[in-house]
Amino acid sequence: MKRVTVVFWTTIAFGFAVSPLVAIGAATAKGTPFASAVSEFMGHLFEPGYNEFLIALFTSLPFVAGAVFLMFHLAAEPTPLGRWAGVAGALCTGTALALWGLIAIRMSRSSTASIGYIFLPFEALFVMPIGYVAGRLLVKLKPVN
Amino acid sequence: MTSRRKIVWLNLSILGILLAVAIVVYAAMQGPLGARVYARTLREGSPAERLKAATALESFGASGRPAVPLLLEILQNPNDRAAPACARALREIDPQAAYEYVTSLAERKPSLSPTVIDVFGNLGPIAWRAIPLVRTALGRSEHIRQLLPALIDMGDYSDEVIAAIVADSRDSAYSVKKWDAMLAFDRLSDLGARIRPDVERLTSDSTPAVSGQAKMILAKIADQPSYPLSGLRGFPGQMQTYQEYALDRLSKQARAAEALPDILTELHSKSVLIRFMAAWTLMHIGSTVRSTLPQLHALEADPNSLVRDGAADAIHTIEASR
Repeated sequence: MKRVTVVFWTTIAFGFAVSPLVAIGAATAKGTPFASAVSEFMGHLFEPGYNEFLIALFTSLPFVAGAVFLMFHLAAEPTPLGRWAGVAGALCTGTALALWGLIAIRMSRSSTASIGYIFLPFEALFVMPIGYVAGRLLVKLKPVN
Repeated sequence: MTSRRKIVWLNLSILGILLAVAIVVYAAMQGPLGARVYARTLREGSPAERLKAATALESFGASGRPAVPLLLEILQNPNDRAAPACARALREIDPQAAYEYVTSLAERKPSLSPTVIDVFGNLGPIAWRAIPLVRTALGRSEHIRQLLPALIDMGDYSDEVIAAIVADSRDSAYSVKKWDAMLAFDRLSDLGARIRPDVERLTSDSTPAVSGQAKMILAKIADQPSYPLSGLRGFPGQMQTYQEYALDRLSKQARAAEALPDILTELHSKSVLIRFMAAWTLMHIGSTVRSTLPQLHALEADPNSLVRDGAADAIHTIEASR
């Protein structure tokens, strides 16, 4: 149960951190010194037109949903390996999509790119079950030695 | 309940509390608490941070009231670099305080530096009584980029302003002055026939940027739809910034009387700024809205001097125009 609790909170923490990490990373990649990028991000947390806090909260929603799911799904003892693999698959696909989407939005020059923030959580929620099934299939199809 | 279940529900409860706290923090930062934070930045921040804080305060509306004393304190020096942004924020947060400020500023007759002109411009229609003062800068030999946009923002569509734009547009070289004149014409395209001959002349200008812009303005003038077919129709039901935009545009249009029912609705708006702007728009429309005089007289009992004075000037203008 301890392990499940750790995964639960790690997933939530990652969900909240992914948008700030990408924001600071993108600013650094564009040439802003790291310390300035961090302070700039902090300044934009609640600023109209930026609302970084709201974006972080919104981006974390699929991860929060995933964390709640895994809390119940992995609570059984003993937990089958397939369930762990499924959850790992779901989190990996969710992470990959969130990272790709956030980086694409941050690096885009389009004035309307930020509309993507509205769709991204739903897209992540959509691909996470696919990742879950893929994870379970991987374990199921893995040849037993 | 097994200990396993207890752990699950404990963790979920903590998560629920954290999410609730996050939402409360966000909501609080959009209200008076956020206004206080930005006010502190405005007082203590670097020049760039102060400018950003003043700009951010614009979006707070009435919930930004805790920042008003500081905004007024900064505006005591209208040459402060953050003053124009503070003026705009003050107008959105507390139009009555902005009106009292601009009245006292105009009485002081400050030297019209570009920053001071910007302050008047950012107060917009609220500063309508300062138009004669700001207009005195038209006579200066040097080109002040802020001047024509500020006068237009304040609602000065007089022949004097149009003559100044025409003079700037006649600059022989393709200059900043000439391009600023094109932007001013663009902003005044709602005036239609009043500026058409000058814009038509500019379609044959030797600079493609100027002639192209002139053609675009002419197309805007030619394609101006009637009010019922325009995007402005039903504007009182839209958000406040759009209502301000609509009233500002109607104040320039010769056929704005078509929008009379909607403008009259705005005379009863909860917003002080919108009530004033509705009266200000009627003042610009002039004699064709003589039927609105009873409603304007009713506004003379408004608790805000901004609305009362706006209504009084509108009544005076309408009665004088025959």
